[in-house]
Amino acid sequence: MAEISIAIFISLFIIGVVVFAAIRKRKNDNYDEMQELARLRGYKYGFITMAAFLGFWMMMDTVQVIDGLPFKLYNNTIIIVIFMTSIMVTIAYDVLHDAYFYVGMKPDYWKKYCLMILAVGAVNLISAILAMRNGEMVNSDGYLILGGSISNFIVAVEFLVPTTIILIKKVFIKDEEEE
Amino acid sequence: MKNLRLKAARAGMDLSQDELAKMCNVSRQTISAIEKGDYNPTINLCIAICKALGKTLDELFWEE
Repeated sequence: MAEISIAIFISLFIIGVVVFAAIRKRKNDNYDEMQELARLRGYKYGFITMAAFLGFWMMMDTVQVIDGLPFKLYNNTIIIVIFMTSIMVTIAYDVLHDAYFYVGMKPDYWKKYCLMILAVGAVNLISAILAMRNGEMVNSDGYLILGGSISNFIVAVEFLVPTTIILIKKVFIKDEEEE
Repeated sequence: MKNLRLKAARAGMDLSQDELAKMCNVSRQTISAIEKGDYNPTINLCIAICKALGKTLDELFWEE
């Protein structure tokens, strides 16, 4: 039954992504050629990250290193963490090359974006820390559970990493402006 | 390699990078990258830039 639910969820997710991409493609050609290239490279590096982590996980599993950890891991937890890491790599690359939504294009957009994302990330991070302190990371069988604190932590990282990169880029890396 | 001819042509028309970018329907960062030599534009963008600045492809993009 759980497998059916997962299959349905994944199917709906894929359909949603395809529909979303089709709608966005029609309505939004706001990325120019350089940004499109940057985004393609971002996807490439994200894919490479995912493949590398999957290979690393398979190797770790083969030599049974994972069994030596202080907690157990469900396979879906590992897969989701790997997937989210690859997304984060893609987003980080896009942000660094001004190809992430309007962050590099509209003058003050990045401030509003950072504020919003920082708020979401901070809320999730606080929630994750509180849940960890309450001992909600591991279930009764000793497995690290994806729900609760771990998912909050993943979401917090997903939001805070792009924000941090944007802030570093804006504050420390001075773009060559007009004379 | 920096494209100083592009920068000079843009300055000659008293256009900012942002203004030229808008005329060519690209972002300011793209124009900046082209001028710095960090990005090679497609032929379509080269043509758009030439039309915006009233120059030929040779004048702006042919290697000396």
